[in-house]
Amino acid sequence: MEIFLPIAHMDVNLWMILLFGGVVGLLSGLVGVGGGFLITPLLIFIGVPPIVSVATGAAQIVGTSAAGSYAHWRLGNIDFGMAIFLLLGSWTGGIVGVYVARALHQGGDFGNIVTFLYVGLLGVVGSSMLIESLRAVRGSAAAVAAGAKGTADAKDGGGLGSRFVAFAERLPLQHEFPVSGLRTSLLVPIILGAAVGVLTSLMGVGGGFIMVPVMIYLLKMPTKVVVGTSLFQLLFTTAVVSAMQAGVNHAVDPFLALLLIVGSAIGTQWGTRLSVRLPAERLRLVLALVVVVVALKMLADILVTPQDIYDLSVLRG
Amino acid sequence: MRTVALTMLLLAAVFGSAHAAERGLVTQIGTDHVNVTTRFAGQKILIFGALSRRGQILIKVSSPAQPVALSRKAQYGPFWLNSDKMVISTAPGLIYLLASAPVGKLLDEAQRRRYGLTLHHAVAHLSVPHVPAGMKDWREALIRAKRRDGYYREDGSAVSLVRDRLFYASVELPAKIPLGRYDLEIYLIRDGRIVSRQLRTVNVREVRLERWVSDVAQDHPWLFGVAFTLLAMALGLVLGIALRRDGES
Repeated sequence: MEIFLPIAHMDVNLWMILLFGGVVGLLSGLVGVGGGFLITPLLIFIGVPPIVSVATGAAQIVGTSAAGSYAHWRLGNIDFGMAIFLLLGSWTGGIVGVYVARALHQGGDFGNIVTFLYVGLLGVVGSSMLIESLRAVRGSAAAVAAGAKGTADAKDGGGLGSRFVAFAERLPLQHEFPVSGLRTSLLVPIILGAAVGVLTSLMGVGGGFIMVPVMIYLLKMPTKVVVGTSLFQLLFTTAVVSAMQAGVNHAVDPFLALLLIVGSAIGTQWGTRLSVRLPAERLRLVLALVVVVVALKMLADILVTPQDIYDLSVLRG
Repeated sequence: MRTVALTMLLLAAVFGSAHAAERGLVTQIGTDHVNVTTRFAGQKILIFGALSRRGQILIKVSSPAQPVALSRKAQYGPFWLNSDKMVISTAPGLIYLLASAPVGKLLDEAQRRRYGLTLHHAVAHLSVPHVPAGMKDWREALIRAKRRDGYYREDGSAVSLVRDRLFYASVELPAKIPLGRYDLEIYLIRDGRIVSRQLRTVNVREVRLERWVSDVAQDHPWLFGVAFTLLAMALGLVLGIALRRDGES
């Protein structure tokens, strides 16, 4: 069934969009990552304008992270003190990002920037996941070797982490975060938040893939607080960015976002149930392959000579 | 369809309800409005009429203007990237030139230019505040893109003549069309000269939810943004609870 997207100004197949949401939800349920970094490229592939893809991606994450945030809030897994300073940073970063997106869009460069950001991000994320999961798949045969490797990795992370903590202790504005069992400078969450906020505006991602490793390995926060706090931060960052993208750039397509939210909610359910029965290393390998393929496809799209160097899009009417 | 048309035409001619004959041309259209609904998949509009003497018919269908963005790719090293972009705020949304013989044979260049009866002349008068250096050929690019999508068309066999006295044509409007008043200009041409011209209009109006949403999003972007974000949050929450999702993201 074809439906017309009023903001993207194009016809799409309703089932295909539900399927996109479902597949990304399935992957995130299986592997436990948010899927924002897959939704935006998929939308661009089917011809949704880049700015609409990015803005709608942010709106979609609002929907998909709402239930999880609520659950973690009830479980008391959110460090609100930390979250407030993260949000101060990410709101600032997000608002700046929305205006940067507007300037780039008006100059006609937004599509190029988004493509390069994604080729870079997905290339790095995908290939490091690929290496890690190949190692894990091979390592499960030789569990001892993998175990030794694992502890070595953990020590490495520990070294970097303690150096970071030492650095953070010298920064001004030291503050106690009791829920996380942490004392650090307020500048740390603010700067971390700002970086993630900019990515939300320019790429339509939640930024959990940066936030979570930084909190676990560098800040040494307890894992369950990390998951709850990053989800909560992500919900309110994407919420502000989504409202801003609609307000400043008129770029949030409501039909597209609603379909993606419904699709991914269902997909996540299946994914979560299936993940109990499927081997985790293989799943990570599948996801890594998907991410690498998407990155290569984006790269190919700018390498292949276009049929017509001109492209027409109807703005309104 | 043809029989119905001809019957209607005869009745119209007899009772004089058709558009008054102007120098040998009587015309009628099947409908004067098009309702674009959610399930709208395009519509055929029948145009028919009678000529008092032998001649050829040319019909120009034109829609209201629409703003479009034209972007151009260029090669930077190995990459094909968008390099320039321009906005044409009043591009013709749809232009059909339908005739009973190839348009080029019916009228000479000067006549066609005077009456705007070529695709090139229809975009020739367009002016844009700023044309990027690499986009001097934007008019051709616009025509090419619009032709590819079926919005600009020139067809010398779309109008049928019946014994040189009756004509009919069916205009097929695509599913996604600009809204507003469409002009149907019907020309009677004899020996390379326009001897009669009639103007008909069809009103294309939208009655669907998409229009309302797009209007709200354009006219009240902040209200829309905040309200929709809250809606997305609520929907996610409800779905999550309904599907008993317990914290994974």
